[in-house]
Amino acid sequence: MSEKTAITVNINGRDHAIAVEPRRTLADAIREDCGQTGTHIGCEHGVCGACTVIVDGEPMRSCLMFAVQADGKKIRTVEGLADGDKLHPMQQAFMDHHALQCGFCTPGFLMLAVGVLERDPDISNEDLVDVLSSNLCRCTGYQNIIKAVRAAAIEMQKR
Amino acid sequence: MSDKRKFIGRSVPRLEDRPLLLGLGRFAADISFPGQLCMRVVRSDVAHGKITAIDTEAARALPGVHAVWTHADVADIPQIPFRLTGLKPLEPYQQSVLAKSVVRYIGEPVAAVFAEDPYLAEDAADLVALSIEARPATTSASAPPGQYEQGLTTEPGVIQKSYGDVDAVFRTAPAIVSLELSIGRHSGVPIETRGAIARYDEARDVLELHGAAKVPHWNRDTIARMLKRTPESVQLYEGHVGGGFGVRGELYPEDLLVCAAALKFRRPIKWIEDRREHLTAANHSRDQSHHVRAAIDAQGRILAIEDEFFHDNGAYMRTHAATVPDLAAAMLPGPYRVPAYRALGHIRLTNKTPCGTYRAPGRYESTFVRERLLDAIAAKVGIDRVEVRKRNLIGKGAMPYALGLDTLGTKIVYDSGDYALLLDKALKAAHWDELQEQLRKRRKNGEKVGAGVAMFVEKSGLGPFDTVRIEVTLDGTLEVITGVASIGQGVETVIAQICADTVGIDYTNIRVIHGQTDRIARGMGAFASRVTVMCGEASRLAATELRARALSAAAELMQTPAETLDVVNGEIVRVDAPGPSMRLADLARTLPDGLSAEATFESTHMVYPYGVHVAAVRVDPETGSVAVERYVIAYDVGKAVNPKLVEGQIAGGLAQGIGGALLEEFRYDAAGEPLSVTFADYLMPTAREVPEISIVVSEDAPSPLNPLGLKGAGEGGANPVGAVIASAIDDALQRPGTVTQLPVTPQRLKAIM
Amino acid sequence: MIKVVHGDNDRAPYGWGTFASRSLVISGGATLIAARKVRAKLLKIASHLLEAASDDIVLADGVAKVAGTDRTIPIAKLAREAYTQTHRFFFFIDTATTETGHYDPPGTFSNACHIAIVDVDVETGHVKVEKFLVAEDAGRIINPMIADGQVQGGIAQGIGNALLEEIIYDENGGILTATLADYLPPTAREIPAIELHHIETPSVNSLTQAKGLGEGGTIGAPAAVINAVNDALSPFGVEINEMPATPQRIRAVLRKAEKAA
Repeated sequence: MSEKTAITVNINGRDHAIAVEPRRTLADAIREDCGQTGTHIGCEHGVCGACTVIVDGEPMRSCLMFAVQADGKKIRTVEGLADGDKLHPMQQAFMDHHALQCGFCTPGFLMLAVGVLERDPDISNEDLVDVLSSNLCRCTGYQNIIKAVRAAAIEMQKR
Repeated sequence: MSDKRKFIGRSVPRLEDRPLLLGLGRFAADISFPGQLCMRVVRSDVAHGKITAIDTEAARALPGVHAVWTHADVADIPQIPFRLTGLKPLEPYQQSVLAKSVVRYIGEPVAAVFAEDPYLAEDAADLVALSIEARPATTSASAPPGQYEQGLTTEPGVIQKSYGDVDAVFRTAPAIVSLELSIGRHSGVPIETRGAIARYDEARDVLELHGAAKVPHWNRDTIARMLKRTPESVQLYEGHVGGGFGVRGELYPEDLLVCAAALKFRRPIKWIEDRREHLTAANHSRDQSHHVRAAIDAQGRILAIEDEFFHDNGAYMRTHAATVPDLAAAMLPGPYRVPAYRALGHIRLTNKTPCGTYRAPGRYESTFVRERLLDAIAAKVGIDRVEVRKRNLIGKGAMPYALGLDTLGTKIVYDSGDYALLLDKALKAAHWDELQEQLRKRRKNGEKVGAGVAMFVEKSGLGPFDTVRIEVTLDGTLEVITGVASIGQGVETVIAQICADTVGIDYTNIRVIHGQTDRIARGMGAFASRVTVMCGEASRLAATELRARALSAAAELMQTPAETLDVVNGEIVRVDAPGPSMRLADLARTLPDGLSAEATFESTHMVYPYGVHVAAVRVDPETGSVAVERYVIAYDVGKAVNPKLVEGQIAGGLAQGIGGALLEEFRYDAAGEPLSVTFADYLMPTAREVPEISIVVSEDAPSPLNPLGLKGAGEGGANPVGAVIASAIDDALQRPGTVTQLPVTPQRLKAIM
Repeated sequence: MIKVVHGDNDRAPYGWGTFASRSLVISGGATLIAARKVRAKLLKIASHLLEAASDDIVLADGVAKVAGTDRTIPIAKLAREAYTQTHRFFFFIDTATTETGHYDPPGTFSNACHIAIVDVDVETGHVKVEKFLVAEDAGRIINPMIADGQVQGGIAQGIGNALLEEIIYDENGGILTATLADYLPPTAREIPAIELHHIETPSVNSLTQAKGLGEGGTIGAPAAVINAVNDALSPFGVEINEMPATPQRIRAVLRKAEKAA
């Protein structure tokens, strides 16, 4: 075990001062050191996308980042999407369209979709499917996820 | 019960969703206890060999490492027993919790490290030095059996099922069609890997296992027996479960290890596997090669089918024992009349990951075989592929139809079905005739496009029982305590819908408990698409009893006959005249024993949903890749409690079916080294690979075996996907019989073309 | 083996908790009612499995036996069958071997006589309790060891109340006894051997015939001790009527007498 480094990561607007080994992944730091277990780990090699969070505005695989790389960065996770009791349009759309079954891949999809739509609200349908093909889901067969994201895109435009 | 159906049949939003959407789920990795140790399993890196030494010194010397276990530490734990279809001759092939002296697959648990944190545990595991004397590895299930150990061959058993005089029929048949087919090794691969957290509560003398799934009661009873504790002193807790598909929730060596360690060290033990481990250590499935023949007449009608197959079960017989090959043999006839039948299924062991069930187990395989056969018959006789099926379908009038075969302890009797009608519906939904026209035109332009159709009968609603207890709580909500489990399929919503309509209360006021062995003494869990049927009917019975009790008690209090009362929105009201009403909660409070009811639904027969898939594909001649352009599924579930959830199950099954048809395969080299150990090698379908689907959920043939007519929906999306895509590819290449092996990877297709 | 689950409102029926020495009386009564129902159910299941009339079955030593024969079945097996083979029994029993008992008795009144013998050191004001005897009637004693423990613990607190424990405030409302160096619970030195006698007058108000007794020690002991101190001080013609009768207070009272003399 190597020396731990003190870093500060800002998650959903709150600073977390933690001490981590250089090899600690951001995903593990978010989950264990900062106690936000909504971000899930599915493969640790950057393919499944369950660990997707938004780092300084960009959707990122938190399993492929080291926590120390996130020092001083602004991270958004699924726990920060809702506004108090009110669900984010993306969350509401997932519920309305039955876009989740077991719910394990869901936080990753939510952050991916929110991140992409915030950056590119007019994204074409084709490109949207391309983006959504970055993450794996084993339960839904994807169609309802695509429908939900499209519906949320419209709602988000209204805001 | 009144006929008003406010909730059954409606796609009401799921009660499960909110916490999952908010990131507040409690999956196994989210559960931690103070003072816990983390377990990391050391696994064999040799496919077959004799352990000569395990050097744990360096690992144990690492600060923060509490202990390193090898077989000697768990020698008194017996081998993991069978849960289903356990035949005595298979018992010597069970797996030990840690390998004793021989390792039989890469990934087999050999040692276990217990350390203060998971990174440390992994560091220590890397320091454990395994000395293994390699032996030749067996990687072929169809080669002649070799030696498993002294006195035992690598063919633990042979499944035999038959009826009629197959040999006589073949002798005199006008024509015979013969095929060699194989299905690639693949499996459920849920996005959440396996995990288990064990904790011993000294004060209550209870061993707790968190992260349970699928069959908590059987696992509880078995763990208790294996660790020599009473069943009451072992409790399993199911939190959120990231998909099961048959793979998660069976009893694995790691479950026993965390339990034994928690008892030994008196500290909670947490184990979460990584993806690489999952791909080599969790159950594989589907690995079968078939030699099938059909005797037919000049019109393409089947006179007999004979199938000999080799089922590669990997290195050991795990909890499913002979289940998969048994189901393959039993369900092969499908929706067709097969006057004489014989199946011979060789169970073979190889030095690969052991196998178990995976969504539509045995049926994905046998449907592929049977539907390829039907296509081959069509080609041989020179008739259309739809026509050949029509000619062979079992008629509606023949229901209930006894197959003359049995499986999973029940006799197979198709309870109801109008197969011809569903075929028509599917073809109509697919605009089959226009589709054929379009495809012909496109083929003329040089595109390699084609369509296929496949039909199947599924099984669901496996008993033998389910028990449900319903209690009216102080705040008027109903607590429905069941012995089933959730794998994400929507149990809490569907059972609530059934109870809601039966009692007369809103479904959002119902809380369904599942997966907790300390809340109900017995349960059967979730597998074989059984929950809606078995638990649904048990819930309906309990709810009916509860309503009757409520009305009877209220009748006394309200001084009016029970027949004049009804329960509407959780209130007991008079239906014949206006007057005061009473809330269920208030009634419950007045009764000395509260208001509750319990019921058991037993069933010795399964119920049989059935379906038709239609697919259109485009083959890229350059790359050999296959794009699925159009997909139509018609599935009859008897009665759909929540249509959207039924569609969700079908869509999810389809995606997995496409994976098995085109992408997913666990490959091994000749030395037994697994080559598909990351998602870069084992390719799962993404949103790009799964097309838009038209789903027709049909209720033409409710089951006569339960009052709501329910049949289970979980596996119908996956069942025939390999078959139908193969059929469509043949059509695209205009070469019947091209596809004989799954998955149809681009490399394989290019080689064939 | 019998396991008692308490304090878990997910598992237990609605309950009123533990206070006012109520647990044994009320919960005990409810338990007895439920246990009798379970017994009746076990007899029913046993009679079904052993093919004999319920009246002919005896439950003893963990086994159900047909009287006068050697046909037996362990109770554990009866329970297991009831749970895992519900389909064989549900037409005449529901909820397997689970039963609920409800009990709402009128109150009960335990009573006792406490005798304390003390030795007062008139120089220092220190009081030593030399001997303590109590005769208590709490109806039927279910577990003498536990009952005695309650009485002894209560008496210890009573002695503490009589001689040691006091929460003191100054005139500004500031608490002066905020640590155990100032607030003095009794230690092993302060509590003598207690001689305990029980009279068991079965309670007619309680199904188990038991009465609650957790608080008797704190009721009788302070009075007995102070009465004993006053008896010791009687040659001096002084009385002490406040608690705790600390050395300072006893000395103060004695000083008054000395002055008067």
